[in-house]
Amino acid sequence: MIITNIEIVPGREIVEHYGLVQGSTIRAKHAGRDLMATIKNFFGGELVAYTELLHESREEALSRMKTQAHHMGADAIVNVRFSTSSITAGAAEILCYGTAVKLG
Amino acid sequence: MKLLFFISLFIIGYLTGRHIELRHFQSIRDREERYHHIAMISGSWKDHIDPESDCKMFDGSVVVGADYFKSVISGLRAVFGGGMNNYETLLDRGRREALVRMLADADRWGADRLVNVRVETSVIGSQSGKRALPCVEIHVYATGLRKLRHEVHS
Repeated sequence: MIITNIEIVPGREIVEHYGLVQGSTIRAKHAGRDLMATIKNFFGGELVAYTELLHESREEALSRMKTQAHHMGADAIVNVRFSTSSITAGAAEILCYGTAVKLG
Repeated sequence: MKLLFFISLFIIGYLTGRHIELRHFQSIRDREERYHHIAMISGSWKDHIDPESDCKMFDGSVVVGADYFKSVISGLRAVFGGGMNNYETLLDRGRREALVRMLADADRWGADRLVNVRVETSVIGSQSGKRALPCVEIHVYATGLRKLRHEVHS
């Protein structure tokens, strides 16, 4: 499965469009991580625990999107976009979406 | 007693925060130098995309939080208005760190350019508890291109 965030796949022709595919996850941080982050936060800088958490959820969202595209019989997803929004104080939703296409 | 606690947090926040920040900027500059050969383009014009290339999507992300000193100073700033210099450096740092992480990934894969670079900033909510400090995620993503090796091409 080829994934790009541009409109095309270089050197390949798009022969069919299957429409929008998407994947999303909502993750909450757990208490242990939250505590560590609070302590770390006094000194500023990167909060590694959160970076990892959001990275994992993004991977999950991507893989859900890929599964959906796979079921449609697509072999690439073009023009992928991400969006993150915080739902409550402890949770964030990560959404990714793109257009599933068949390559020639 | 409460005031003493506040002042010591303020000073510790300032000193360690500053120290970490300076060290971090130095490390970012070093790594940016290392990936200088990968061109980053924020558009996806056809002229920049060689049809004879492989593509893969890359991303990099980082979550940054303000230290105690910064949040107190910005509290004051919010009253008088004006530029929040201390937050500018924090977000700049996060953004460059995220870009460098993406570059490192792309470099390992052998990319020679990254097109359609997108930068996204989102507030992921402050911590629970009384002293809530701002917490921001920066996510960058782009499509990496590398020259097609003919033996791989089927």
